[in-house]
Order: sequence, then C-alpha cells, then structure tokens
Amino acid sequence: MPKAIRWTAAGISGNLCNMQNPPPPTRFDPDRLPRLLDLVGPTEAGNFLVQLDQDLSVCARSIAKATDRLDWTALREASHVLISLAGSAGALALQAMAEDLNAAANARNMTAIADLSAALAPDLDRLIAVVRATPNPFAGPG
Amino acid sequence: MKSPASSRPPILLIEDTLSLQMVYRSILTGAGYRVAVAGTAAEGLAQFSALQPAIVLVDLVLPDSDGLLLMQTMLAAQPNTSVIAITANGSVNRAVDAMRAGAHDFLVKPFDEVRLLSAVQNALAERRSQSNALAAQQVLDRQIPVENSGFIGSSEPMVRIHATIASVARSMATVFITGESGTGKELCALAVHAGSARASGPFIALNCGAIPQDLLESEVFGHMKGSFTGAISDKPGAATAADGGTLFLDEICEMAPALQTKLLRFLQTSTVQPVGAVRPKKVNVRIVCATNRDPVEAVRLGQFREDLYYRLYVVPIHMPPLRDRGQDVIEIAEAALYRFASEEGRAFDGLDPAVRRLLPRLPWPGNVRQLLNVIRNVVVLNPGGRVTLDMLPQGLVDAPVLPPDTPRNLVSLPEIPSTDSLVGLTLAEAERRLIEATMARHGGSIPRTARVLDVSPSTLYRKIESWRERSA
Repeated sequence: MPKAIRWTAAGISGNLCNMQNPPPPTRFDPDRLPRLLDLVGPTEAGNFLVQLDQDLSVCARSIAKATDRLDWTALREASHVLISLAGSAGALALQAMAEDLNAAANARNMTAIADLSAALAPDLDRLIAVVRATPNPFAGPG
Repeated sequence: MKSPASSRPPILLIEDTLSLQMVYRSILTGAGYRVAVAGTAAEGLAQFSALQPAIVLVDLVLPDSDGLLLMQTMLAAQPNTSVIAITANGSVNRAVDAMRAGAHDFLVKPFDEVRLLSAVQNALAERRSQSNALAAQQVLDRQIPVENSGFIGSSEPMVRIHATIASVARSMATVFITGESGTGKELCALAVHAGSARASGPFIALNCGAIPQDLLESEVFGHMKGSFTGAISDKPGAATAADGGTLFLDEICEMAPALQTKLLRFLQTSTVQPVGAVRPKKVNVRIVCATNRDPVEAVRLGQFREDLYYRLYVVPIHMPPLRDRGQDVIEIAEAALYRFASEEGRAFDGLDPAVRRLLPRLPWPGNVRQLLNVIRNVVVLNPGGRVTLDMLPQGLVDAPVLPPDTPRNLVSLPEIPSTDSLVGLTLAEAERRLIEATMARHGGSIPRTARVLDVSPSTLYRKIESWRERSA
C-alpha cells in the first residue's frame, strides 16, 4: 500500500508538471489530488475524478448565476462547497478567494461579490481543466 | 477487508458534495469502520432513524435544510449520539454554534484523513469512558450537588452560573471562564470537574502566566530525559497527568504563540508529544481554561490565535466581580468568618450591622480573594466577639465607598509614586515601589500589571518571590 501511494503521487505530480496544457491554478499543491485518488482507491478513482469535475463545474455555474442575480443564499452555499473542494484538491489561492467570497456573501457586500467572482473564475476554470486532464492512476498505462 | 467493527452500528456521514462524500467514506472504511452515507438532510434523518448510529458526521450546510437544525433534531431523539459537525474554513462560527448545541467535535474543511480519523476515534473513546463512568456518575448525582461545590452566594448572577455549570459539567465541551482576578475562576473550574463524569479522575491546574515561557511547553506536554540541559529524568506534563480528568489552564491568554500552536494541535488530535519524545501519546483530557483578560481583544491584538479561541470558547462562563454580587459579600464574609475562627481557635459572633452596611458598598478591586484576606486579618488580629468597623483593616474602612450605580472608574485609585518621591532610592527599590503601586491599582492582578509595565507575568512572579526571600 505505501508503495502504491508513492507511485501514484509521484506519477501524477510528474504528469501535472510535464503538462503544457492546462496550466495549474495559482498556488497549486500538486500532491493533494494524487493523495485523494489514493484515498478513494482503485475501485472509485475514476468515478471520483468524474464527480469532482461535476462538483467543481456546478460550483462555477452556481457562482456565476448567483452573482448575476445577487442570490445570497446560493452564493453562500456555492462558496462553502468551493472552499472545501479547492482546498482538498490543492488549489490554495482559489480556496482563499472562495473564503473571501463566502465572507462577502454572508456580509451581503454587493460591491465585493462581483470582483471576487470575477477574480476566482480563471483559477476555477484551471482547476477544472487540471481535474479533466488528470489520468486515473489505477487504470494502467495507455 | 473485513471490518473489525462490523457488529456495531455504522457511522452515518451526511455530506451533500458527492466527491467529498466519496473521500470521507473511503477514509473511514479504509480504517475499518462501517459507514452509511446520505446527501441530504431528509435522507440523513431517515438513515438516522433506521440505523441509530453512535456517531454522525454532518455537514452544516445542506441543500434541503440547515445542518445545525438536523443535528438538534437527531440529538433530541437520541441524546447520547456523538455528532461531529463539518463546516468550511471561513464559517468557523457555525462550528462554535454547533458545539454549543451539543456537537461532540467539529471538523473544518478542507481537512486531512488524520484529523477525520482522530475526531472519530476521540468520539468513540469518549463514549467508552462515559459508559465506564456511568456508575460513578450516579453516585456523584447523589453526593455532589453543584451548590455544595465551593461557591457561596445566592445573587442572581451566581444562580445563573450554578445553572450553567450544572448543564455543562456532564458534556465534553470546553469551558472558557472569564472574570477579574479573585472572582473564583478556579473554583468554577473545579465545580465543572466535580459535576462531570470525570470527577474521579485528576484535576490538574496550570497557571500559564506564572511559568517562564521556555519551561511552559515542558510543563504542559512533559519532556524526556536528556532532551535539554537540566532534563535529568522523564517528566510527564500536565496534559498527561490529567489523563482521564480535567486540565485547567489558567491565564490562557498569557501563553506564548508557539505553544498556542501546540495546544491547538493537542486539542485537535488528543495526543501529546513530550519534548524529546519520538512518538505522540494519546490522552483523554477535558480542557477548562480561564483568563482575566478579554479574549476577543487578545485575538484582535494578535496575542491569541483566533482558531484556538474558537476551539476553546465553546461554553463561556463569566464570573461576576464581587461588587456586582449584592448581598453575596455578606454571605461570603460570614462563612469565611466562622471558618477562619474555627481554624484559629477564636469565637466570633457575626458582623455588626454597620459592617453589614459597609461591605456591599466597597469596590473590592481584588474581589473575593481580597474579602477573604480582610476577614482573615480580622480573625487573626482580634480576640473574638462581633466584628465591628474598628476591627476592619484601616485602609479598607478609609477606602471610598460606592454609592449605588457609581461607575467603577470614578473610584479613586491607589497612587503611582511620583518621580520626586523616587529620587534618592536605589534603582531596585524604585522598581519595587512602581510594581507594587501598579499592582495595587489593578487589584493585585499580576497579568494586568505585567501588561501595563510591558513585562511578562513570569518576570513579576520572579521579582515578588525574590522580595519575599529577601525579607524572610
């Protein structure tokens, strides 16, 4: 088991470092996503990557929609989810921006919301792209 | 893998973000636990009713209901369930609400597998401990009512405090006691311990302001022989000594920032690693802490870690100053009079009406501690009889009395020596006069004096000790 963990962490980190596209989000910790894949294990790793992509994409859509409509409840919920997903996947700057967005939504700070939503969107897109480009380490070569 | 806990009820995980649900479930099943999952509050409640789990992990933000409400519903149905609340970084105040509503612990997302497993293991260990202590608790229920736990006073603020102690004592929640110096914070901590299922375990008190900062880590977490110069043998720290009982950390806001980080780690993992030790050790300790400062202000000034504050400030108890406790001052004075008279072999006959009128009107900057010193002084210096005004210490009778509703800051305060009065003294003597006058102005509080003089409390404790040694 420890051998497998070392292999997958090193393998995926290497894949991410070698990637021309997509660029990783700002302040990205490349060890966290491989660690999550190790934790969910070979049976679930593929499903997990699909689900993580879906959860992040839902966050992106919800934040954009809630920002347009100034829907505070939806903003609070979506930013709450994004804090956890970004942090778990290693997108540390995105996690921090999601925390700011969550605080602004709780404070109903209209002026901050639009700026924060716009600021985090590129990093969120990059994280989604990284997740989509990450291979299932247990699927074998090819 | 066959689960070692397959015969026990499963852990219920209520988390609506499916990718995170997959990760948490995998961590728990990988550690040998049976896990049932739900993605909504409605589904979670249905699973809870069907499975009656001992441990529930619940996200406080759910799509169909508030996680806090769900938690309260579950605890109302099954009060002995251990609920671990999950929230996201930035919403820690929600976790504090959850702890106040009866959660056993909380996790702040994103968290790693060590923290998740540690929270679950702590909950299980606590349940075992509660089960073992049930018989002892039934004895305690009969023998140690809270009102007999050392507090005297029937004023409205104290009645509220008795009620709070009675309700919080049996939970595992951390208690944060605030109040001026001399108001009885340690007695309050002892009452919490005495009313808990841990009453038969140790009660270890540690004054974080009285121990030099470089020794504090060793005092709290212990050290191994040879880990530093002077470590001539292994020493268990206060946290280990309090295993199975209560650790009381007084003057918590005086703790150095580096040690605050270690304390936070200790609270999160329930493990201690003595200085020089290779492996951490698991301990089962309830924390009660106290300060005479405003902890929020200490956080604002950057002197106290915000995350540690949220972790500790779960059930606050504020001990009122004696001047706000009305006739309690008479009750305490009379109880102390008879106790000290018995100890000193004297016969006293209560308080004269003039004394009874005076005592509630004094400002009592040193609170109950000051009142007890006054009564001790009366008992030692007088043969007995009824306590009259002329038996009271001179400075006390001359002290300005408070007409009702007088703001505290209008009372004249002890004078700080003028520069002229210090000329001709040695530097050491001038320093002593300044320290003593500042202490008198702050009701004898060393931490407050230390802050005014911009030195550490331990410096003052050392100086006072050296003056005592010199005069002895």
